[in-house]
Amino acid sequence: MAGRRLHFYLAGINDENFIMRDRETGSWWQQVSGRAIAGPLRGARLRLLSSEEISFGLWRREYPWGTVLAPLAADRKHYVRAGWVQRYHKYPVVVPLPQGPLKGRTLVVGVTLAGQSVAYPYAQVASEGLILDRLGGKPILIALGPDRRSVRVFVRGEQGLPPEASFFKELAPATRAATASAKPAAKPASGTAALPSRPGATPRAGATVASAAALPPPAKPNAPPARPGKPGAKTPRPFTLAPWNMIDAATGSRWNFRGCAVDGKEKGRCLPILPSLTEDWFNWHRYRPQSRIWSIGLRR
Amino acid sequence: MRRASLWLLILLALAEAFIAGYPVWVLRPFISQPPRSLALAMALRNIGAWATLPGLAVIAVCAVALLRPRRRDADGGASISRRRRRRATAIAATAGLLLGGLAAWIANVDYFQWLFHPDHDVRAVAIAQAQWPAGAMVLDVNFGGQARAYPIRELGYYHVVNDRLGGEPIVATY
Repeated sequence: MAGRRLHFYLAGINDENFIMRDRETGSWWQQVSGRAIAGPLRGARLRLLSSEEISFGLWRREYPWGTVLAPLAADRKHYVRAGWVQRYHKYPVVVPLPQGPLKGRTLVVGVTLAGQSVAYPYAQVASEGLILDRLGGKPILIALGPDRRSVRVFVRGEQGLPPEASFFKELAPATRAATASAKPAAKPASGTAALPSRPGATPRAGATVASAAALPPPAKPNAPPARPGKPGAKTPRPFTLAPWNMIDAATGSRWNFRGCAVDGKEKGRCLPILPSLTEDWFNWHRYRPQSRIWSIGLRR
Repeated sequence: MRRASLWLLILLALAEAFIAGYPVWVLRPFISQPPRSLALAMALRNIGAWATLPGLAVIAVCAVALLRPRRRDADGGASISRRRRRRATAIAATAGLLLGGLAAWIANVDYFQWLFHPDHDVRAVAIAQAQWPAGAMVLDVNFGGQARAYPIRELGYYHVVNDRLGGEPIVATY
């Protein structure tokens, strides 16, 4: 911050979002906005780095050279346990929230671009898999990843693509076969990038591709916020990384979850990734009250 | 003089309790913080660390004066009602001293860190050394040519991790 290195610590709660202080000036900072709300640096804002919530299995495939925060043995017993999200979501929302289609603790994927914000209910992103929308005058794309739990948002219609480039999800070979023959997929296709399942999960023959490729039933906007396979879910889905590609209708090129074209005319090009925040609806709305809510009925 | 000392001690102890206790009450989870209450709580936390110390010193002086035995008590010359009043004064002085001391202590510690210990030894390891299951969610930051994953189960406890990435100081929060 302005050539000064600050060290932060947890200092309190403001409307269910924590506030932190820096040891150097004693200023108070709101976590969700990165803005100093009191103290000598009041009004300053920390530079937000691009980050995303993603499964460890997917992340280590994309960044095999990356590093991971090491756990501290002394604190290991305190780390949040499986099911903490479900327990947390039992608490009532105390922040004023206008009547609307979403409950306060509905999990949403929030995106802001050019001063406009939109919240995509996580359950709908999970059921749709791929959502095409417009935000801040630009066409965007929201995609559920090959692990069926990570979400990324891209700007489509750049990199030489038509302004309204349309994308659709490529069906996995096993799903195509199952759709054609109306028989359950039997065996994962060769080359499936499946990582080891979480300890305790029971792998099933053919489940790697079939379960990941099959769409779950449509979810209600207020469905419980448990993500597929989220730690603590009652019946955790075995972790798999299914083959995942989307195809742009204009050129027929295939694009991976990093937003890069892997073949076709656009091969080598990458779509810009937009920062997104997976958050409770009440918290997203508290700091972006003008945010609209995406729903299937309003899909473009 | 003793009566004035007693009232000064009581008032200062209550003031100390307010300076230290109001932020604890307001900045707690699962309630809504009105802007004025939040501003007052933060202001009291700002001044509490030093403002409670002179008050505690005055409380201590008053308490010593009030608790010191008087010659007439030692000689057994005081009436029963006077002795009772002295005992009540001694209890009030002790309670005020304890309350003032407790308030000054709370005002000078980061009590949130009792519940959520800060990570004092932030280190990163290569993926091969990380023991997390593939399905565990992480917060991933890609900056300055480096990529780092912060497991949510760790970050959900620490909430704030001061780190360095790509040669820059960063803070990961959750």
